[in-house]
Amino acid sequence: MYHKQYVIPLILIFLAGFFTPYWYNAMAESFGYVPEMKKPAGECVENKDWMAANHMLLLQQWRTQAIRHGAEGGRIYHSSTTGLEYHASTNTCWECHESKEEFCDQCHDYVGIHPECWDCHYTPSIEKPHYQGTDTLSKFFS
Amino acid sequence: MEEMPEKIEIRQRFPEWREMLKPVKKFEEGRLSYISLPKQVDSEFFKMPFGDVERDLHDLKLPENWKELFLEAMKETLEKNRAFKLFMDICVRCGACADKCHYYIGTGDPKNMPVGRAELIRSVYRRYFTLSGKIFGKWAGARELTEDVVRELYYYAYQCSLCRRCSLFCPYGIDTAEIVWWLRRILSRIGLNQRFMTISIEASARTGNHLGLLPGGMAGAIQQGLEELKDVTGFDLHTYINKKGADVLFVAPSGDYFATPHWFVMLGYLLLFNELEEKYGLTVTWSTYASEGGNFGTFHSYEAAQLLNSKIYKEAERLGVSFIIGGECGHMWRDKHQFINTMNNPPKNEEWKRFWENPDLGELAEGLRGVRFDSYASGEHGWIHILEFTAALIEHKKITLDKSRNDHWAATYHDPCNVARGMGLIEEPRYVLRNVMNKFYEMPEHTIKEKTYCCGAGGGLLADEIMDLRMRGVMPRMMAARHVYKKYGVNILLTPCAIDKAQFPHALEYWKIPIEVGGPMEMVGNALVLTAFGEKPEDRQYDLRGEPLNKEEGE
Amino acid sequence: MIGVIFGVIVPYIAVAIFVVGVIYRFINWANSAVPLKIPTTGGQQKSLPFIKRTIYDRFDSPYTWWETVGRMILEIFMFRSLLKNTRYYLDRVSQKDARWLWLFAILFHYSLLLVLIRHSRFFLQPVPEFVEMLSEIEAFKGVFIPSVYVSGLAIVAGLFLLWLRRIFLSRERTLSLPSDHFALILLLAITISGNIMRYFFKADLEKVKELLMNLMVFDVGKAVAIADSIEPIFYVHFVLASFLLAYFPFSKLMHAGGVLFTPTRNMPNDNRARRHVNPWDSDPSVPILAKGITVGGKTFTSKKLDWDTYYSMYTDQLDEIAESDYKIAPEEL
Repeated sequence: MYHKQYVIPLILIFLAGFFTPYWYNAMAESFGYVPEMKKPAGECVENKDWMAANHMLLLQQWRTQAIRHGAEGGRIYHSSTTGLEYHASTNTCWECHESKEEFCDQCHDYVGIHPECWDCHYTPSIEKPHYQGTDTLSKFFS
Repeated sequence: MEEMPEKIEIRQRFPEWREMLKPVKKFEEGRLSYISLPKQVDSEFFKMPFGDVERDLHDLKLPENWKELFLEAMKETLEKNRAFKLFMDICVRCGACADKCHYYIGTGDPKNMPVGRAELIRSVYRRYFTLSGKIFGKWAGARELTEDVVRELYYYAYQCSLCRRCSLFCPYGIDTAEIVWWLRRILSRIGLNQRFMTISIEASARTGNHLGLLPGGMAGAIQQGLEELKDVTGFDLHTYINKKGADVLFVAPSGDYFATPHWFVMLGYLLLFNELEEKYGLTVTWSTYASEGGNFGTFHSYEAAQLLNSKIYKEAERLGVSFIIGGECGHMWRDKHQFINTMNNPPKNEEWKRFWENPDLGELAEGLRGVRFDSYASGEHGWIHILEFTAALIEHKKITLDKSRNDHWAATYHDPCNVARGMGLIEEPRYVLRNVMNKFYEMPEHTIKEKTYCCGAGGGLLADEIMDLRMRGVMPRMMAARHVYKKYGVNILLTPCAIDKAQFPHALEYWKIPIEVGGPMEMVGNALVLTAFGEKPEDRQYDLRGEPLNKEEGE
Repeated sequence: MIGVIFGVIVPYIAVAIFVVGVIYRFINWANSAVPLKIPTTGGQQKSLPFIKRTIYDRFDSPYTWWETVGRMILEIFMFRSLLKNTRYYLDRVSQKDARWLWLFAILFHYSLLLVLIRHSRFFLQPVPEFVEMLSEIEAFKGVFIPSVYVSGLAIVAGLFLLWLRRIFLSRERTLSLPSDHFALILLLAITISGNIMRYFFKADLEKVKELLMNLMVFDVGKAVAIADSIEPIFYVHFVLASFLLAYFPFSKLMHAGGVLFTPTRNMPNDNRARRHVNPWDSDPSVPILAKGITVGGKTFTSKKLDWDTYYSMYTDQLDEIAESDYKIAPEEL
């Protein structure tokens, strides 16, 4: 073999590049890491496996229902799995899933996705301000 | 000489890929090179395998086990040359090279695209050296090696002038010249050599130069040059040949000894050397043994190139020179720049070693102190191009020039392909030309410098039987020349390449462009004032072609 | 069952073929000698000090090691040679810059790079910050739901443009082999199936990552358990990608590694300063032809024209030159 001084480093760089996950995960000590979710008992709005892959579509439909048809009572969602009716709102989710951190974030962080839903919408972990008289209010509107 | 083709019709064909894998059966008139005769390739000094049989392309008379030999030679090539192997493997057929080849532009033959040319041998490579080719055959772009395929390989291997223009544009630097060069070597192993180049190779192996000039003939030619110079300048000039103890060995392509317009360049060399000797005492010698700068072996194979260029370092050592100056030639400078010191051991004589420890011309001739070559050259190589040399002299004001003597010329400069793309000598000739003449114009940007078009006759294709191909291949260059002729009134096409100087006069005549051909050193010779001999700038009455310099007075 | 084959067995085989194949090719190329130093010079050489070189010359006609590295980097990351592309027009006897191929190639390759970086989220735990940031930047986050990854669409566009070249331009059609179309179709199938999975038929990405994380630590039992529960559309994408990996080392796609080896680009143009030694002709004191070459069992030796032979052949003429003291002067008339 000629030009060993270039070819061997090249092969090493190739291996290091291709097997990045190994040394990266080794440094992070996360080999075979699988997130643990706090799954509430009982049925979800739809089939659980379907929900795992498609919940964002459901939420998107609910959003449309709420914005476009909410005033006409269009926020009623008929589940195709159970046939039950649900109020199309994220609050419906929070009825069972009590914590965003222990449920949603587990997977989202795992695959590195940050939905912007919760920039505005309510989650159970938000600390709600309680009305404590005008003094406190003026703190917010100074 | 073969008749010039009456008219050229460029028919572009775009067959489908299956067609491309089928060997061509019909060979176009004027594109097929003759195969060597035994006297060229079975000579004592140049013995090629199976050279003892007279063949022609319709009856190849290949040795019995030719297929085995071919594949064996190919396997050897793959091991011996990484470039060949790699270029077999990594082409993606993007087509960037296709319209860069002057032969493709001129002929429209799809197999003359650089990628098409390489595919001819690549398809054989796939069939015999890769798994996918063995399994999927045609569908993997592979094909059997048959006699028809060998014919086709020969036909197209000798339609490439090894100019490397495709290599410049290829995203992976795939050099068709390299593929074709080594393919020719493979073909020579089963007895197929091209006649034109082997005539020259054999002559050079036997006598030291391509023309087969004997020592007396060469000395006589130079002498005649000196006589002509006496007529032009009125001075008794001289030069040395085979002289031991000279400072510099000068090596020119052998075309310079006889042919026109090479001849005028030769006169330019002689004027420069005389001025240097008379003024500074720098002696330059020619050599009859190393009388050939050009090297047709570089068109044939590594081994042939080595056989021919091995003489020069030996001669430098024998004569005890300090360094070597090379003349104006194209492929010579690919050989002398990239090949020669790999193919040979550099000289080891004392003078050589001493000079290259401190490569200042002042060490040889005190008056030239300051002219140094160590910024890019060393004793492991020791060659300086005559135009680099001249440029250095001009820059250090060591020679006196009178630009106005070239006022009757309006020149343009053609970069020889191997000088531009195998060496990178681009600005030096322009520097020299701007200093020796007032009227110098560039051809369009896409056709000069590293993008220069080949003259269509390099790589061993200067043969007369392929005149049609030559006139087609030179077309892009001629169109560029016509452009400057019309725009600036250019009347001379300068090129430091012996093959160009042989090809362009025919081409210019064929393409009806009424301009002359010459070399930069001719212009230097015109402009050079021989101050050491007491010449004044206005003394010279005639240029090197014998034309009166001052038309009004002359008439 | 399908999940086990496509989700566990196939990727293991594909990765093994890819890694071994690529290393094999590297070593295979490295095993061939480089007899000559043959850079293609694309600019002014380094020569006399007063001949100025521009920055382009330094990279197109490199003299030092660093300039050569610079040339290679420009070649690999900018496709510099393609950027020089021109097109010759026969009818107009003129030429123009034609950089479409460069544009398409850059579009495809850089999209591919972005896509690959984004995919690292399925292998790395935790997902690196810059991967997330890159995804958010190229997705124009907040404009569409689900956010649209530009690179994912650009790669399809780039591939289509490259393929349409091969179909509609006559020259390119002529020189395209089935394998050229195949590579493009394969890449198109992978990228399109990936986009379909993203925008239309969703797959459970958490499971996908779980599968890959388990495959990586060779926890085959867990991988098998997960494999069967992932949606089929994922396997379309996954199997095609596995196939690409296995196909890669033995196809023209290997140009990715080969470009590093090309002698016309990765060698400096310093022949005159540093001698290159040919490994199979390291002592060239006698030319190979004079030693003799053996073909088909027969040896062919050319006689070497050394000075003594030369002198014995042309003694008279050489002596005549010696008599005139090696000097040539015009004849006295």
